[in-house]
Amino acid sequence: MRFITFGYLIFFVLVFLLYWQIKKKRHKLLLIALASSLFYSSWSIPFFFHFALLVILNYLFSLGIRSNTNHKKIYFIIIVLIDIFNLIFFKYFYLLFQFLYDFTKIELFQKQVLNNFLFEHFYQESIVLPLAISFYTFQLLAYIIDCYNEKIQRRDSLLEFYVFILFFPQLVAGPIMRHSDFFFQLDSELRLTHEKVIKGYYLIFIGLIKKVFIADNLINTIQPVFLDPLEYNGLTNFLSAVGYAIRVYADFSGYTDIARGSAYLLGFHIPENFDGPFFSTTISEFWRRWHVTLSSWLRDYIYIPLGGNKISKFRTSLNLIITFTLGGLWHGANYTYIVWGFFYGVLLVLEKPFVRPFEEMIQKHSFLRFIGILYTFLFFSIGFCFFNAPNLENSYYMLKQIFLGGSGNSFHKDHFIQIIGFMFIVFVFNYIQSVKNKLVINLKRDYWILFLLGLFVVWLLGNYAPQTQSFIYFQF
Amino acid sequence: MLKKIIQKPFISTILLALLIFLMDKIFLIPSIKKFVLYYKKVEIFFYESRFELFEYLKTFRDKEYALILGSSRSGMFSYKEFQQEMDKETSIFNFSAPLAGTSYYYYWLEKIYSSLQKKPQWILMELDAINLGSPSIYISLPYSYEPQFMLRYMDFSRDVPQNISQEKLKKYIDLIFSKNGLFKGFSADEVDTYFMKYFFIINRYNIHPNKIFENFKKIDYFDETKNTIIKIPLYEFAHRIKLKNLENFKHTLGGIPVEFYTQIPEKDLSIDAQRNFLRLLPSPELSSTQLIFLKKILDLTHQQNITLIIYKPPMTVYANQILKTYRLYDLEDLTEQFKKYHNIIYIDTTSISCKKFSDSVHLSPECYKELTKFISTYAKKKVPNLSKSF
Repeated sequence: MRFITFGYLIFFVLVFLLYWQIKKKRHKLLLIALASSLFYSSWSIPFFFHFALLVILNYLFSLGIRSNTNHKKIYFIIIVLIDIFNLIFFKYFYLLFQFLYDFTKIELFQKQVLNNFLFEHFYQESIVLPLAISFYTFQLLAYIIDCYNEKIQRRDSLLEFYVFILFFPQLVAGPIMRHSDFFFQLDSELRLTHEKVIKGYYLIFIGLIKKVFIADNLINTIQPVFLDPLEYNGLTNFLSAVGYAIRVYADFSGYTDIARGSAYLLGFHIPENFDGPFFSTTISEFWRRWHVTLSSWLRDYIYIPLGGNKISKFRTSLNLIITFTLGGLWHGANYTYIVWGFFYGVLLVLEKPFVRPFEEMIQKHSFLRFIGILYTFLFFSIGFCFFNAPNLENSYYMLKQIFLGGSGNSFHKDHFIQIIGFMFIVFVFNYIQSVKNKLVINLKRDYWILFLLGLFVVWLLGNYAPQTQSFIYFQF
Repeated sequence: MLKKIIQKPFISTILLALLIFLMDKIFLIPSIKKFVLYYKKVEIFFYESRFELFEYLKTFRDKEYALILGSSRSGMFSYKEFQQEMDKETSIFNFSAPLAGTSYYYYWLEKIYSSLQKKPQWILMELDAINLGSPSIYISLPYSYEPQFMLRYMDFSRDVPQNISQEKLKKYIDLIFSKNGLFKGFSADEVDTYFMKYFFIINRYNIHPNKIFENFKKIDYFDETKNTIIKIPLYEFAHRIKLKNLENFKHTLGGIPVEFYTQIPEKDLSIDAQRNFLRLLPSPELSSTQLIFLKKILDLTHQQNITLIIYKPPMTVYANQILKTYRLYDLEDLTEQFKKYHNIIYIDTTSISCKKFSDSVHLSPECYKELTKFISTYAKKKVPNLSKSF
């Protein structure tokens, strides 16, 4: 079930109406568990059972890890291996085959050969990637690792754990929650307040604007350039990369807003994933403000266990590159994602001696701050030549066109204005994200603003929704 | 007391949503709808007017009737010419609508048949890849079908992709045509779009401020009642045209008047074909929903022993070339299935001698006489006792 559908609207309204009629917290959680199960089953019933089984298995193993100190490590290793194998099997199956084919050139390892076999015999066009597998695997792993490291003191019930993993607003594309983000809310009464209603509505409306108005309208402008970069000149290739940076922000931040807004209306707070990232002045600051829950996951569960920055400079740099390359691989099973992650790893290593010493000075001077913002945004955009290209060949051609000023077609004036206009709007949204906590609730004013914003969103959906695309991060 | 209730967060959440939902419904009020519907959006009128044509058809309960089901390419058929060629006693109703496809055909066929409880003498159905594409579903979703119809024919989960690529077409056609009743019809996405448009009026009619401003531009109009030229806004012009055509439908039995078709100069037909296909069939894929409904039409007509004349409409070489590039010109895998049904007459009309076109996909009005004769002659040759007059 996608957020921008009539189905989700009806589903959410029904859940909301029922939910607030229930008095007992346990019953409320039961309803969310049921609703979340339905939400996932609407995509695939067999994969729902696969997912539910995995959740129950993780819960049972977590009990083992927490109660049995003698076999703690064995339980830990088994369940981590199960989770990782599950991810690798579904997500990286084709990539493994691709590696094998590239090395052996044996036809059998070609993706198309396998797909043809599946289609001929089972009417399956490919191995299905279970929805949200990357997100739920990371959330499960975080919980298990925290249990193993004895960071979790609270005795969570199976129902609470089930809701934590399957909570439908954040199930499909995060934010990747930790124990500390969620469970404390279950210790007090779940209440709906005006503040939650206002924040909830506001986030849902803003999320819809970002997604429907900005992200979905950019796709037809920029996608042809990614598919055939040599047809277009250097500037157009560059603007397409910038356009994708805007699109991916509007799409993913839009999704996160709708997820958080839905959670607020059910009385929950789920963490923000974006802290006005486009106002970052360095790449390292950017990764602290962009997809915050993934970045902190990679830091806490890969970078620090590898040694973090408490070891030699060489090892620290290597750890950074490994962490970001794995981060790239998390996004998708394609060489392009691996190179994308590696690119940022190398950038961060280079930033350490050349930019980081001046960070404080950059923050103090507005001109340097502006240069920093520009530098970060440009490098972030350039990275999408890898991220969104169908293959490395296209990435290479795009970069070649950009840096060698290749000739070819250029954008129509309207497309140029569209990208610049959306860039301005997206920077405004980034600014709002960075000052969000300074806003004071005023009931009368805020409800009026929400009413007008709501009408605007209905109009926007009416005119732009038919072309609504699936959220980019749903594929991960 | 009321203020206290409203101020409860739960109530204010519901009230806010309800107010926004109700504001959208303002555009259903006829006097407002008249101003805001973009005057150029004639497809809304043609789709919605089919319900009035249906009411008119019901008055023919005691008479013999036949149906023409197609897109705007079949809208120009004259029922009188068909009567002359086939049967003078049969009233031939034309339910064609812009870019309509097989799901739309089935909707009307089922509705008419179940309401009249009397089978048509014959059905003429337009069919090529355009009628089987996804765009032909989405254009009809906002203006046709009842919620019950959508829910009745909704597939919660089906093992066929929404769009079938040309390479996999044969395999899926074999699957769809081999399993009776396994596939119900619309995909969950299509049903979702339908209900979004059913419940949200702005979504249904794409109401846009720029288009409303344009509606208020004034033009010269010859007022037949006053026998003089007057200045009227475009929305009023569109409204008068609609009223006039609604009245005309009783004389044309649903045929679309020639003036609604634009004439493209011959030199621009190639570009027009490329532009049209971006809207009509942008990729070499057919919709599984349309194939499922096609099978339903074939099964229903077969069970009821209704003669179904399926004709492949003529188009310009440029449009045909695009279909050939898509490898969707002949649709051999599909026409092969027709052989299983004894009630089907399949006619490829692309060989008619009149080669004039209004645009890349529409035959010129002057060729319809020949096209009608071509179809009738072929059909009569195949089934001499198609109706009483044969």
